[in-house]
This record gives sequence, C-alpha cells and structure tokens, in this order.
Amino acid sequence: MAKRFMSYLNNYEVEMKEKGKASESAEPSPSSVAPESEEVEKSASAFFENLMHPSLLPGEQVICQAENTLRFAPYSDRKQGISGNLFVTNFKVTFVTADKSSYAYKETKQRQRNKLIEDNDIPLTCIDTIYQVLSGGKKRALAYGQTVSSTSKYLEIHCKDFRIHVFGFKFVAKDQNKRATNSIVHHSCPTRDDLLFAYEFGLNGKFKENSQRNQFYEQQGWAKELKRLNGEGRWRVADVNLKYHLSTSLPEYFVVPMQLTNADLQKAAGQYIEKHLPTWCYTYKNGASLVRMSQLLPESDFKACEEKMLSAIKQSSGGTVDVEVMDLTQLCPSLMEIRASGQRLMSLCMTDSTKEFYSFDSSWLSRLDSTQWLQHVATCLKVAANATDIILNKTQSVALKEETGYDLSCVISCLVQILLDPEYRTQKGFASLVQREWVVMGHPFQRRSRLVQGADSEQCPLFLMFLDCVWQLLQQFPSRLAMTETYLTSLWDTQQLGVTDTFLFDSAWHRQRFFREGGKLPEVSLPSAWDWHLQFSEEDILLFNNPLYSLFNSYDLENVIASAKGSLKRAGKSASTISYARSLTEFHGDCEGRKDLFKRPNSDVLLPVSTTAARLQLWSQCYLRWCVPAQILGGGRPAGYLQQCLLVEEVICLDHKLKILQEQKKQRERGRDQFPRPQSGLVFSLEAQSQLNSCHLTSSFPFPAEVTAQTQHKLISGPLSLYLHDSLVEYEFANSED
Amino acid sequence: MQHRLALEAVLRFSQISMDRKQNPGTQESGTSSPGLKAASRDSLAAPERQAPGSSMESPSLSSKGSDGSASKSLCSSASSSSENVENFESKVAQESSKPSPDQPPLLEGETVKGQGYDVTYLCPYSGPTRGTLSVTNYKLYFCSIDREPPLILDVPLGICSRVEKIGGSTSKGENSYGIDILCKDFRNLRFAHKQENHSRRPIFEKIQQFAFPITNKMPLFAFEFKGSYDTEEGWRIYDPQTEYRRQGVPNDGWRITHVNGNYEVADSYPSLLVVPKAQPDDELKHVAEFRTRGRFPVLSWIHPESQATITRSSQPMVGVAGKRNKDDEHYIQMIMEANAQSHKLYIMDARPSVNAVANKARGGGYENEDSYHNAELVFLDIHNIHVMRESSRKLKEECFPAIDEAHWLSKIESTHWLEHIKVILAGAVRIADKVESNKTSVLVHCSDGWDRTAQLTSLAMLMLDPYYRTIRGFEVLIEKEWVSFGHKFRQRVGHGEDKHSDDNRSPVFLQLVDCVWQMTQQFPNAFEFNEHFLITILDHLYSCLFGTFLYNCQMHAEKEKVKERTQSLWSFVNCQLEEFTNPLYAAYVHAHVLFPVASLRRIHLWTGYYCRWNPRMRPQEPIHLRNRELLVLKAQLQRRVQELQKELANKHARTNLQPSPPRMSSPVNV
Repeated sequence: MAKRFMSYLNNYEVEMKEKGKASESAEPSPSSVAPESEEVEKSASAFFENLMHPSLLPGEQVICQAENTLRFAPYSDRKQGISGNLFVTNFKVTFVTADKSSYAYKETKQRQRNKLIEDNDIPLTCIDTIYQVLSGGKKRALAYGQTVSSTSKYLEIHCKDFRIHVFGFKFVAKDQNKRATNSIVHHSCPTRDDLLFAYEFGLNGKFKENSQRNQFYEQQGWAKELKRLNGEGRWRVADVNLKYHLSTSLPEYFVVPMQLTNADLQKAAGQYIEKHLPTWCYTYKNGASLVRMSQLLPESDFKACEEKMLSAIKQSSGGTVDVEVMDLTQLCPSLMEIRASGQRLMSLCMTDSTKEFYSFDSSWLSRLDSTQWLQHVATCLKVAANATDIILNKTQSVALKEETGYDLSCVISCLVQILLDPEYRTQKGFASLVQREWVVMGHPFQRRSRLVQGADSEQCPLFLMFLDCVWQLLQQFPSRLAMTETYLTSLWDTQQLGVTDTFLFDSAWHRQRFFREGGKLPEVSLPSAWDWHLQFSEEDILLFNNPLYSLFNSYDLENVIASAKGSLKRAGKSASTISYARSLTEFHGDCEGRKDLFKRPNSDVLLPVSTTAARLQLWSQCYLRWCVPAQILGGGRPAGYLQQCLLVEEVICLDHKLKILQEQKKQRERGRDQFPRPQSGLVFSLEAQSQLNSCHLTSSFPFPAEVTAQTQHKLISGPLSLYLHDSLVEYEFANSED
Repeated sequence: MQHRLALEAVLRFSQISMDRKQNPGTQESGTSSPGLKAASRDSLAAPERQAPGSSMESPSLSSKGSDGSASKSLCSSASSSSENVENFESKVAQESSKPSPDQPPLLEGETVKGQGYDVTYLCPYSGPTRGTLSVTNYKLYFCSIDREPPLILDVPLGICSRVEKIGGSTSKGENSYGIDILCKDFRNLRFAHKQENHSRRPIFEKIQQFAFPITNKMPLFAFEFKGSYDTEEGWRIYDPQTEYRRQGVPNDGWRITHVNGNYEVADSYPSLLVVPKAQPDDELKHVAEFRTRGRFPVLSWIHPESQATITRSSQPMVGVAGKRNKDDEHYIQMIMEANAQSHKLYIMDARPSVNAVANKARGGGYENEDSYHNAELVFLDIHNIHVMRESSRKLKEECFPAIDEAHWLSKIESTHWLEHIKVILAGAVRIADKVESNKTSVLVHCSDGWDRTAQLTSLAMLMLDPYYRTIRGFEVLIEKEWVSFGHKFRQRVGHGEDKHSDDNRSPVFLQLVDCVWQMTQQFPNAFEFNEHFLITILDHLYSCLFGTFLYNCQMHAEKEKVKERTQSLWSFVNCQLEEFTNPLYAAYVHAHVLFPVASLRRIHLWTGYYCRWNPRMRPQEPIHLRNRELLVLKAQLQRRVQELQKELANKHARTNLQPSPPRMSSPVNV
C-alpha cells in the first residue's frame, strides 16, 4: 500500500518535470537555442519546490515539517490517502502534496473556501485532542505540555469543528516524526496568550480597528442602544470602571439604573463575585427590562445590598412591579454538565471508519439521548422563553443571576433579546448583540475554548450551545431570522480559527492588556469576526442570507400579495368544497391551509418556543458535515435552501419585469436604468454561473466535506447551476427587450 | 472518471427533461377549478379541532346568501369558511348556523344512526368536555357544548380497531363509566357517560355495528358513498399496458403475457404480467408451481438504458428436502439473460436468513446458489409482519398521548421502529445500487412476495425512476406494486372486522409511506408531492371511504366490482392537486437516481404523523406554508406579466395596422 503512495508521488514528479520541459520548449526562447536540460530540470524543480511549500499569512512561520507523510482520506480505513509533506507552523498544521488528484478535488469545491486557511488545514486553536497511534496499534491521547519520545505510526487530530484528520507517519524519518508530533502538541496549546499566533498576526497584519464593530467598548455604543430602546432617563451609561479600576471582568462602560451613583456602584461592586454588578441588557417597549449580574459573595451583607440594587432596577423599569430574579445557577445546566455533554456529543458525532459509523448506528438515538446535549439546549430555550414571557406579559423586569455573571447569562440574555426584538434577528443586529452580551460583557472565550494552557474544567462549548439554541429557533421560525444555518456554523468555525479580535479574549480588560502590554511594542490589532470578507468571498457570504426572510422583509410585495390573496379566495371557493381530506388530516385547522397563506403573526415576538424533546433536532450541518457516510448526495437541507433561493429570485425577477411592463403600458419608454434589477443577495442572483457549475450538492454544502471514492459515482445530481434550468431568472433582462 | 460520469448524468438528465417537456400533463393544476360535485365538503373526521373562532382572519363576507355565522356550521373544518358558503348547495349548508351537536355534517349516502347526549369526551390534552356524540354509517362525530368555540371530533369509523366499555354502572370516580376506542391511526378516544340507565348502551351498540360492518355482514361505507368528482377518473390512473409501455415494454427481452388472465396461475397476481420474451406461457405454469401461491418472478421495472430489471416473486418451494425445479432455474436464467449488460443476477431475499431457513420447514425456503448459475443470494434482514406489528404497538405507546420528555430518543429507539425503517430503506438502496451502478438485474422476494417484496420494489423504483416521484407517478406505483400485485390490504388493515388482535394485521403499508417520507426529507426538492399527500393516503387507508385499499388482490376487487361501485382515492386527490404539491419540487435537478442515507443519523421519527394529535407538536411557523407562499407569488406575478405582455403585444399589433406615424418620431409622444 505504502509503496503505491510512494510510486504515485514519484511518477507525478517525473510527469511534472516532463511537463515543465514541454512548456519550456514550446515557448520561443530568446536564446533560440534549445535550453540546457539541466536548466529545465532546475526551473522545474524550483516550480515544484514552490508547489510543495505552504502558503503563509503575515507573521506565520514554519516550525517544522515531516516529509513523506500520508494524509488519509476520511472513512477510508487508512487504506486510501495521498503522500506529501506535513508542515507545522505557528498558526496551523498544513499538508502540502504534489499529488494531482488533490488538485482536481480542489477545483470542484468552490464554496465556503476560507481565504485564511485551506480546506484541509488545521488551525492550531481548533485542535481539541491529539491521539498518537504507536506502531503496535496502541492509541493514546497526548496531553498538552507532554513531550513524546516514541515515534508515531499515525497521528489523529480531533478538532473542535467536529472533524478528524488522520496522518500516517510510517515513512517519515524518525527525527522529523518526533519533532512534528511534539510541535503540534506544544503549539496547539501555548502557555501564554502572547504566544498565540494571533499576536504575530496582529503585529504583522496591519488591521485597522473597526470602531463600528467595537462600539460597546465605548460610551457612545451603549448610549446609542439605550436611546434606541427608549431607556434614556431611567438608565445611564456608567463610567465608574474607567481604566478597569472597579472590575477587570466588566467593560469600562456599562449601563446601570439612573438612580445609582458611581459611589453606590463602587460600594456594591465589592459584594458581587468578580464584581459583576447588575448591569442593563435590554428594555422592552413596555418598560420592563432585562439585567444580568453575578451572585453576591457569601459573606456579604446580602439583603441590604441586593435590595438596593433591585429597587433601583425596579425604579428604572417603571417602579410598579418587583424585579423577577432568575437564578441561572439553579435553572440551567452547570458549566461542568455542558462541558461533559459537549464532549459526549463530540465523541458521538466524530467517527473515522465506516465500520465504527455503522456499529453504533442502531444505538445512535439512545447515545444521543445520553449526551444530554439536546436536553440542555431545551432547558436554555425554556428559561429564555420564560424570561421573555415575564417581560412581555407581566411587564416585569427580569434579573439574570449567575455565579460568575458571564457564562449562562450571555446565553439567556441573548436568547431573550432575539425572541423579543426583530432587530437582533438581522445579521447586523445579531452581530452587535453577540459583541455586546458575550464579547464586551466579558465571556471568557480564551478560557472556555482553552486557547492557552489552563485548567481543563474551564473549557466549555457554551458558545456552541448558544448557536445551537439559535439554530433551533431558526427551525421553528424559518422566515423570521435573517441568517441561515451556514452563518451560524461559520461563526462557530470562526471562533476556532483563533485570529479574530472577537473570540480571543476573556474580557475587555484582558483584550486591552493583550494589545497594549508593555507599551513598547507597536500597536497590535486584529480583525473582527464580523468582517466576513476577511475569510470568505462575496459569493460565499451570500449563503448567509435567508431567502424567506429577505423576500418578506426587504421587498415591497404588498400589491402582489394582495392580488394573490384575492385570487386565492376566488380559487378557494371551489377548492374548499373538497376540503374533506384536509380536515381529516389536519389537526389544527386554524394554523394550516390556504387561508393561512400570507398571514403573519401580529406580534414581533417569537413565542411560543417549542422545547418538547420531539421537536428539537440535531444540528446536523454543524455536527455531521464531515461524516462522510451520513452525507446525502444531492440532497439534504441545502437542496431545500437552494430551491427557496431560486423561487425568491424568480419572484424578484418577475416583480421587476412587471414594473417595467407597467411603465411601458403607460407609454413611458423610460430608460431601464431607472429600474435596475434589484439585488436579492441570494446565491442565484450571481451572474457568474460558472461558479455554480463546478459545485455539486451534498448535505454538507457549502462546507467542503470530502466525498469518498465509493460514493463519488453517486454524485449524479449535477451541478448547482442545474437549479437555474427552466427558471424564470433573467440576468440581463434590461437588454433583452426589442 | 468523475467528469465522464458527470457528463453522462447531464446527458441523461437532459433526455429525461425533454421527455418531461413533451408530457406536461400532470402538473397543471393551479387555475382549473377542481370540484366535487357532491356535498362531501363537510369536515369529517378531524381530530379535536376548535371550530373557527373569532380569532380567525375575517374572510370577506361577500356571500349574500348566508350570514357570517352560517359558515360555522359547515366548517368545523378549517378550510371551509364563510367565503365559500355561497357555493355550497347541499342541504347541510342551510341547516344550522352553528356547529350543531345534533346535526353532524353528512356525506352523500351518509345517515345518522344514533346519538348520545350528555357525553363527556376525555381529551388527553385539553381535559374533559361535555357534548353530543353522533354515530353515522361512516363516522363518529362529537361536538362539545361547554366550550366556545366548540371542540369537534370527527373520526371515520374505519379507523376504530377496538371498541370497549370501561367501568361498570357501579364504578366510582368521575368519568369512569364509558367507552374506549382504540384507533389505527396512533390515538385512542375515550368517552364517559352518565352512570344511569345504561346510558352508553345504545351508542356503544351503534359504534360496534358500524365500525365493524364486515363482522356484522354489512357493506363497507365505500359502497354507500354517493359522492363523485369532476375530474379524471381515479380508477383509470393506472393502466398496466400504458405503464409498461412507458417503461419500454414489450421489447427485445420482455413481453406481456395474459397467462394469468383468469387468475388461474396465481390468484393474487394481476391478470397482465411481463415475463422474459423467450419464455413460453405453458412453461410459466411449471415455474409457478414451484413458487408459493404461484407467484412466479415477473417484471416490476426495467432500466431504460442498461435493461437491468427488478423482478418480484414469492419464495421457491425448496422445503427441507432441498427440492429443485429445472423450469424455475431455467426461467431465472432467462431473466438474467434478458439483460445483456451483466452475467450475473442478484436474488434479494428480504428476510433475515434465519427466517428463510425456518421457512424450509413449511415447504418454502430460498434459492440454492449451486442450482442457480451466476445468481448471488443476499438476505436483507427485514423482519416479518409480527415483529413490525409489535414495534408499531410500542411506538404508539411512546407517541400517544404524551411523550417522555426526559428519555424521548431512548424510548423511540426501544421501539425499534426506526431501525426497521432503516433496514427496509437500506435494502431498497442496495437493490437500486445494483441496478443502477452494476447494471445487474435483481430478483426480489420474501415469503409470499406481497409485503416486504412490495416495500422493496416500490422503494427501489422510487429511487431509480423520477416518474414515480410525481403525484401521478406515485399513484401508479401504489396501484401497480401494491394494489394490483396483491398486497393484502384488507387483512393487514383489518377493514371492518372486529378482530383487533388478528395476527394478520400489520403496518406494512404504513412502513412504506414512512420510508417515502424519509426520502422526501432527505431530498426536499425531488418529490412533487408533500407530506399532506402522504398523510391523506394513510388516513384513507383506514377510512373505508374509497375503494382503493379495500381488498387483498385484484381478483377479489374485480369480483366485488370495486371500480364500478366505489370511488377511487385518486379521483379525490387529483381534483385538488395544489393541496398536495411540494412547492420546492425541482424535477430538473433530480432527473435521476436518489440514494437516501440509510442511517439513523438521517432517519427521523415522523412526528407530523405519529404525534400529530398532540398540540405541542404543532409547528410555530409551518415551513411548507412559507414555501407555498413563494409559489403562489410566483404564479401570480407570472400571470400578470403574461397578461401585460399580451396586452402590449395587442396594442402594438393594433398600432401597426393603422397607418402609424413613422417609428422615427419618438414613441414617447404617441
């Protein structure tokens, strides 16, 4: 087997060289004499060398390499793979090969390609566990800080994005073998955060700080949000934490009840764990507000202090009803439970052999059940829905209390705001919400994703659980959120990338320290996660847009909807005479059927949220996308998504055409420039159909999950561009007339 | 390699789409106004449902003939509302202005047989409610009097599996005396009666009588139903000759035979069959003798290019002695030879090998690979009807009335229902893969060849042939592989018989529909029909309103003149196609084979069917409505664009006829 790999590589080298010759001689060489064969050899090997080198980001350096490494295809039982060089840099583990089959592969994958990292590269910060398999077949997990003295036969890298990479080291020279293993172990989890690649990246990358995205580090950001929610006059932006004198876990600015002076705050802060005072999150239209805080220290004068704080909150929310304190430590699963649950989920979803995949297929459901992941998701949704209900229906303010004030408070507070306010269901609003409630309010991302060495118990996939909750909402309210599941999955991946300002730090103070430590270095700055152009092409970003949301929120279709309703009514007369079947089959007549078309709820609030076990689903795009045997070729959710995109695109095109025709009817032959085709922001609005041509659909779309040789022949659904077949989408409508 | 395949796929695809274009027939449904002539418009049978209340969007009250409240009477159903009333001609329409507990809406041919007043319906979700319970020759109708809007229960009696009295006249406790009804559609109904004067007796007797007409030597309601549909006759949807012609048969390898014209060879087979051309009719009889119930191998489907086939049969009668039959062996050889592409044949035995071996003791068994040259025998491990029945019984326990929130997934697993679904799908994928990828013919059988065999052949055909993924095509598939090939609907469902523990009953057809649903979930844009279509089929599997699923085989149905005396379910379906259309259907994308993933990672419990009685399962924002809106918008815009274009074209033509000013002068001033 191994020999085959080797010979493959050698053949290819020879072939490359010959090709080099051919192309060289084809060109009219200025010397007019046939070039020396040595020279050809030289240039070819230089070309080849170049090909065999990894591409590097600013500040990225190669630490070591392992030649003749095998990279195994997923689910190939280590029988299929390609040979090449493995490089460990200070940013990633990357594999470079001259094997042409991998290039062919690349060409077919055009979507969701990350600009910072190749499809099969592994950011060091994404690594979860490294397993070493010794030549005897013994497999062990390598702990960070450990130095390995044995040579590895295989190296299995399990990643936080639910992917497994397997490398064969059998043919790697002994010293390279050990060095590579040790470098990955060592660099995947440095001892200090200034040893993270992000530091070098920030130093060399010359990123401009995006003040728009970082607004909540400043006073105006809070003031603006407070104004938007009519909270001025009752709440104020406190500057008591300037220079982080009061608390290192709170930002410099935060919002508190008007009534409380800085002196009050200073006095109270000492009573709270990590000095996480009650701070404002949100005020609903009815005046009821949401605040978050940590628990009081055990020895503190509990009553007096808390009462003062709560009464101030009560005053600021209208002063009539008491504040409902929700103790998240009691109501929600603990960090430890979530951590354990997340680990079980990962080990359940991550398999690397077909045999293993099928061996627990029949017990999949009970295993999934025992991860408790979905139950925890349900609990969080339930708590958030309860809090929302209290604010909405009882006009009562809610205070979220949690031991630290920066973990589950982030989850619940965000969910409540998403449920209450449509603004946070837009992509921009969602980003600013996460930025405010998670990043600025001091969720310790660095510790929770264990970017540097620290206690294991600090690690917790809390942000993933939050994203899962949002995903569940997306399933339950398919047209009410502007983003798609691809957006949420990409956000999770971005956190694992480890180079964004957004998900790197434990708190605002921590961030500042990272950037300005010592003061002697030139200023370091990092890109924001919300700047998607950093990672993705324009076309790929379009896959974040939810077609159902955009159509009904961004276009004025009232006329058409009204006339469609009218025609439905006319058709309804005859159709309802045969309503028999539907009444037989549809339980809740009042939410179904023809007359419910185009009906929208009166309320902007997303309630009720369903949390019954039978309605919650596993987020397969995020957890199963690398799982080759579970891939649906030519189908899955993406197929439905793309069809929706196409329908919306058609509706928009037709609407546009109608407007032009109406103008023509009025005999006004205006320039069509006045009716530029509206941009739907969906994937089929692209005129570059060639992009779609090379792209085949699987349930993992748009993520570049591999298709094994066994399943490749089943990829017969054709390229995405087939969707446009017979469609009413006209790209150049403006020129098509007369 | 990959490119070649892709190209091939594209070519194939374009071919098929061309074919489609030439035959646009079925999909046009939108504007034509379908209609049921008769007044079968009432709201039969829905589970508990609140009659439309004031909360509903008020429809235009343009109807002059009826005041707004009139609508309520008809419309315990959601879909019929006041806007439709003016169209409603039947007597029912004029009767009352409220859903009247005394007057259940009736179908043509339906009459009220008995009524119980002051009955309490014990709703497992919203608690007890008092009202009137009516029994007709078709349904149970309950209308509450203590709720506004009233709770209405409308259940075809065919759905009843067992009717029981609970408690006696001396039982203590509230609502402890009454009637308990076990239903075939994953729910139970319980009514409580006053404990005086044997108040439940008359109604109980009526239910017994009309829920089990066969037991009581009465006709099924389908024969009394007088409704008709002004649409293409559903009974004509499937014509075997047309269907085989669509597949390209007869051809060089296959011919149509009428050897079973009088159902003499195999009484559970259809009269028209397709066999290898080289096989003379008289020898077929010898083959049939070697197969259980004479069900010898015949063609189900043939690949349009490779000529690889799917054939179906029952098991060979090998017995413990290991009997051989030269004619059968020769015949199987001919099936293989009819496909020039491959020198091999797969025999897919749907059973677990243990069961196949056990069948030898009863004279059955399986083909010995030594006697059948170049045939490879594969066991697909699908369990028998008894295992499946037990599994569905457990599933019902988990799904109705409440679910175990804490251990839901584990409980579902313990029923093994999804595991069975997976094995069936996996078997069908294997068949489709052999036919498509290996170009090899496959013979499918189980024991009798009318349960598991029908599941496998029809699912494989659904994967292989996009035609069957259209509404019409699916109807053909059901008529062909299930109805005509003798799936014993009457026995498996137990129509009209008071024998709920009959061990011939089994949810075989339900499993098929579940598997189809799984495929529609995995390929959301590959099927023309929607979930509602599948649920409708299942509801009428039990309702006994239509003649489609009433009999065990074609011979029996013909003898009873089903086609003349009853309505077809497909007539009913096809006059309202848009209700059943999947808005995301994209035929051109999936012009070819679908391989669903047969893994529990991708197979889910069909809560929309099994848990549909539970109001908590109802979606907040049904996605199918949103998708349908897109389709409606598109159609609307398309129509208006066309109208305008036409108008402009006419105008243009008119102005051209007149001696018009030269085009040079600006058209703006015209």
